[in-house]
Amino acid sequence: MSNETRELSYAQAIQEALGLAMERDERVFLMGEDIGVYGGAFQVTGDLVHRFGEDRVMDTPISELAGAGVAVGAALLNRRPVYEFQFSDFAALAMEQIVNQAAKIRFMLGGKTSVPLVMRFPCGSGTGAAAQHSQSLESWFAHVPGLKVVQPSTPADAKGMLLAAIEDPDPVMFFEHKLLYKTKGHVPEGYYTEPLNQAKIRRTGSDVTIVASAIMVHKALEAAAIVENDGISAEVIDLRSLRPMDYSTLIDSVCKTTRLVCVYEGTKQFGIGTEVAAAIVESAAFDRLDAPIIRLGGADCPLPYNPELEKAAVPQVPNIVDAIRRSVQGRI
Amino acid sequence: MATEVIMPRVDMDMTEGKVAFWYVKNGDAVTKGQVIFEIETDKATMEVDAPVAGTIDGIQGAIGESVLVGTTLGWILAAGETLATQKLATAVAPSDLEPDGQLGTTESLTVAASDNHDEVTTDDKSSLRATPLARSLAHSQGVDLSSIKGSGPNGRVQGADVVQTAATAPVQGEDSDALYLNWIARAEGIPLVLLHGFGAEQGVWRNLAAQIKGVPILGIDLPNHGKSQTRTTHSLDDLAAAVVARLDQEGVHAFHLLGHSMGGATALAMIAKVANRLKSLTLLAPAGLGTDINGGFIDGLCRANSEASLKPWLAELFHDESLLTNSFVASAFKQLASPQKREGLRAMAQALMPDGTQATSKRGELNSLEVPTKVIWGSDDKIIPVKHAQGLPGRVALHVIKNVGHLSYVEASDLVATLVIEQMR
Amino acid sequence: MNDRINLALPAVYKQLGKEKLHKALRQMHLIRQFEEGAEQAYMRGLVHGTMHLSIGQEASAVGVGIMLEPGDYITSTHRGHGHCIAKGADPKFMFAEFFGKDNGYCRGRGGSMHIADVASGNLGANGIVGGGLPIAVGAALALKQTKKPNVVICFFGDGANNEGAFHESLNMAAIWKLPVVFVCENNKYGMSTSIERSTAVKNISQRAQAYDFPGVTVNGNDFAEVATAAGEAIERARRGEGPTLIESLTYRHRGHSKSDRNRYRTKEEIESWIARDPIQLFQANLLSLDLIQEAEVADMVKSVEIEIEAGVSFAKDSPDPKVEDLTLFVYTNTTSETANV
Repeated sequence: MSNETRELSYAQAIQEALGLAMERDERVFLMGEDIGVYGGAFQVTGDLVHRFGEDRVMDTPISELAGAGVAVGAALLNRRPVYEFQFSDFAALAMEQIVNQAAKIRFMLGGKTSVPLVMRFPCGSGTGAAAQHSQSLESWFAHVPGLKVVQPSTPADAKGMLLAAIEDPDPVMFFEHKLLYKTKGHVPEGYYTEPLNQAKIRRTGSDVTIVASAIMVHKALEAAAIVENDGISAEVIDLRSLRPMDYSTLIDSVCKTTRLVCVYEGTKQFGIGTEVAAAIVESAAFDRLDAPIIRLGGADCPLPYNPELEKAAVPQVPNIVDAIRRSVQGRI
Repeated sequence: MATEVIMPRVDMDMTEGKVAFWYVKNGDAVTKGQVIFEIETDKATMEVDAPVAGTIDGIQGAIGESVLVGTTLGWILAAGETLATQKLATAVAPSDLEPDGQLGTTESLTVAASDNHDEVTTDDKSSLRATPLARSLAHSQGVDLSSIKGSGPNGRVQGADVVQTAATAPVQGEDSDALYLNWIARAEGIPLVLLHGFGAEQGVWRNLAAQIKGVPILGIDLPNHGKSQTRTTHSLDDLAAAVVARLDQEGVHAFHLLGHSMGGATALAMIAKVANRLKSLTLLAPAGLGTDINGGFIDGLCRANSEASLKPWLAELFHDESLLTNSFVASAFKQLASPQKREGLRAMAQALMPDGTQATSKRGELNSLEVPTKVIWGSDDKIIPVKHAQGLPGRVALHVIKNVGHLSYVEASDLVATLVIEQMR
Repeated sequence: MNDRINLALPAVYKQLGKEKLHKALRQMHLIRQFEEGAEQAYMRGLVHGTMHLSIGQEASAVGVGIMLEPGDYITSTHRGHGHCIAKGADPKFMFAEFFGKDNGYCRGRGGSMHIADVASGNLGANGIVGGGLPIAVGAALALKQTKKPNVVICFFGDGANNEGAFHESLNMAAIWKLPVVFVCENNKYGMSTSIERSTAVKNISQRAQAYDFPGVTVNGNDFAEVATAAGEAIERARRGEGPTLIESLTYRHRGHSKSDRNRYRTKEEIESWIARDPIQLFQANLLSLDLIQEAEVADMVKSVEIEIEAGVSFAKDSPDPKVEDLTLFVYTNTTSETANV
C-alpha cells in the first residue's frame, strides 16, 4: 500500500474505490438509476461506464424492489453487485428484498451460503430536497440482524470502507451523507481497506465523550474546538460502523471521561444515540457516569422545506456546544 | 383451621379475574360445595363454591375489581375461630381493599403483608441523588454519600464532590491514611502503576521508568514504606485495597500494573478488585505464587541497625554482588532508619511472611485474567525461588533471565523495560 | 383445457427417452408420497408451524424439472416441496428440516418455507409471495455475466402475478434478455381469493405481452404439455433470446396451509380435479404406450414408499440444533458479529 496521499473529495474517493474494486475483481459490477453516462445523481460513478462498459455499470429502470432482488440473486451466484439507490429514502421500495431476503438468507439456510452485496445510499438533509429526499434511515437497517451498516465520515474512510464492504461476504448497507460528497480530505493511493467494525477517536479529550456519525462528526469536532476555550476537553468518537458497533471503544472512552453526548441526524427517538446510551448504561461504564447522557438527534417531524426550518430540524454546532457545556458543568 | 377463599384459576391462561357477585355475607354459615360467589374472566362467568363447611368472614375484594389469581377473597372459619387470629395474606395492593358498603364489615380489617408480598417501601437512599460515578467512588473509598453536599442540579452528588471530601483531609504523607503517590512521568495515555517490594519505596523505579518513554508512570509507597503512613496490615488484601483506594482518589481508572516481590503479591491481590480497569500485568519475582521465601533475608532486613549489618543481606538480592553499590546500601538503610519503620516492617513481615513462609497464595488470581500478563524472574533469585513460576496458566508469558537475582529491574533493567513496553502496545 | 389421454406419442417423450420418463414418473410418486408423509407427520405433531402442500401439482413441477441440466437453477415458493424434489433434493434431508433438525437442508433454521440447496442449484423456497422473482432475475444476470449456458426457472403462483415484484422482474428480464423462464403455477386461488376476483386478465400468460416476450398457457396436469413448453422456453433462454412466461394450469388438492378450512371452493370442484390426478394420467399414458409395465410401476411405488419411510425415520433420529448456536449463522465471520455489551 502506497503511503502517498493526495486531496480527494468524498465522492471522488468513492469513485476511486469502485474503479479499483472492478479492476481487481471481475465479479464486481454496479447497478443503479442514471449511474452510466449520466454519471450518477451525485456524480459519484462519473466516467466509470466509459472505463468498464455498460455491462458492468448498469443503468436500471426505476424498479428499486427488483433491482435490490437482482443484487441478491447475483450475489447468491457469487457475483459482487454494488447497488446504488438514488436517494436513501427510496430504500422503502426495496425493503422486502433487503430485510426479508438479503439479511436473512444466510441464516435461514443454516449458514450454507451468504449474500455478498453492497447497497449504497445517499442520505441526509441540508439540500432543500425536503421530506422524501432527505432522510437518515440507517437506524432502520441497524435494527436488522444479518445486515451490516456503515457510515464513513471522511473521504479516506469512504474509500477504505467501501473496498472492505465489497470484499465482505455479507450484505453491507453503505450510507453516504450528501453534504459530505464535496468535502475534501487526504486519501491514500492504491488499494486498501478499513475495518467495518471499528470506531475511530477523532479527537482525544478527558471531560466528555461525544459519539457521532457521518456529518455530525464534523460538527462535533467544530463544537469541541469551541469549548476548548472554556477549558473543556472533549473527546470525539466517529462511530463509522453502526452494525456491528464498536462498543468497547465507546465504553473505554466513557469510563475515562465519565460523560456522554450522542449526536446523530436521524430522528432522536429510536435512533443511533438511543442504542449508544443504552449500551453504555448496560456496561461497566455505568458506574463511571457523572452526568446524565444527552442525545442530540433529529427533530420529531419530517424534514421541512424552508431552509431555516430544515436547519432547525437536525443538530447543529451550537446545539452540540450547549449540550457539552450542560453535561460538563453539571447543569443537567 | 380456617380455610382461605381465593380467586381461582379456571382457564389455562387466566391470570386475573373479577368478582361479579357475592351470594353470602360475613357471618353466614356455608356448607361444602355451596356456591359462595361468581367470577368473571375474559372468557366466561363462573360460580365458585365453598371448599369446606364453616362460617364465612373477612370477605374482601370489590365487585368488578380485577384481582390476580390466588388473591385471598375471604375466609371460612371453623367453630370457635375468629378473624383476628388469622394472618391475612394478600397479593393485592392495599388500595384495592377500600371498604365497600356492599361487603359489610371490612373497615375493621387489618391487612398485614404476607411474607411473599413485594413491599414497595420508600428507601432512604432513593431521596439521595448521586451519579453512578459518585456512588462507586464513595463505595471504594468508604465515604458516606449522605454526608456529602452535592454540587450538581437539585443537589446531585457528583464525582468531584466525593473526591473533594476525601481531599479535604490531608491528601497523603505523614498525617494521612492515604498512601504516598508520585507521578514519576507525565504523558498522555493509560498510566503504568509501579509497586515496589518489601523494604523498598517508589524511588527505586527511577532508572527503569527513565527507559519507558512517552508513558505516564506513577509509583506508590505501600503502607509502612517510603512516605506512606505506618499502619497495621493484616493481609495482602489490605495492601491491595489501600492501593486501589489511592488510585481512585487520584482519578486513575484504567492502568497497567507492575509489581515486584511483595508489590507483585499486592498486584495479584488487586486483580479481583479492579476487573476491567487493568490493561496489563507484569510481575517481577512476585511473592504470592508459592510458599517459601528467604526468611533469613526478611529478618536480617528488619533487624539491621547499621549499614554494615544490612549490607550482607542486601547482597543476597544480587547475582552479581559487584552491583551492590554503597549508595544502594545507603538509600536502602534510609528506608529502615526509624525504629517505628522497622517495627512496622517487622509486624508486616510477621503477618505476611512468618518464619520464611508466605502466608497467602494468590496463584488462583491468574486463572481468569485475560489481559497481557508477564512474569519476569532472575534465575539466580535467592529471595523467592524462580520455581514458583512453574505451572502458571498458559496465557502467562514467563521470562527467566539468566545470571540475574531478585532485582531484575536493576540487573537487567533494559530487558525489563523492553518487556514492559511490549505489554502496553 | 383438454384432459383426454393423448394417445399419440408426444415428441417430448422421444426426446426424453424411456429412462428419463421413468425418472419423471418416480419423481411424481415421490413428491406425492412425500407430501402425504409430511401431512401425516404434521398431524402427529412432529412438525412445528404449518405446511403448504402441493398435492395435485406434481406434473407441473416435474414436467419442468425433467428438462433441466445440473447447472441450471430454480427459485421456488412457499409451496415448494415438489420443486425441490424435482430439482433433485433428498427427501430425508427435507423431512429433517421439517422436524427442525440440525442436519436438515437448512440446519433446522428455515423450515418448510425456506428449503434450499444452493450448491445443487436450488436457490430456495420463499416465504414472501413474489420474493423469488427478482432473485431469479439476478441469478440469470449472473449466468449471463459469466457466459454460462444455464438457465433459471422461476416458479411462482397465481397470487404472485399481482405483486409489484412480478412486473418489475419481468420487465428487467426482458430489457436485458436474461436466461430466466417464469413458470406461473395457476392453481386458481391465492390463499382464498380466486384468480377471477384478483387478476385483471383472463390468462396470466397474456401479461408477457406487456413485456414483449412470449407467454403460453398449458395444461399443468399434463406432463407432456408442460415438458414440451418448458423445453422450448429453456432452449430459447439458452440461445440468449430472453425470458418466457409459462402459465401452468393446475390445482391443489389440499387447502392453502394446514389451517385452511376450504370455505372458498366447493367440494365438487375439489373432487373433479382429484379425478384428473396428474400422476394417474401420466402413468396411464406411459402404460398405454408400452413405455412402462405394471410390474415396474408396482416396484417403483414400493421403492418410493420405502424411501419415504426411511426418510421419516432418519429425520426422527436426527439431532436437534444446540441453543448455544442460536446466533451462529447470522454473519459469515463470527468475530465481526455484533458484540453483546
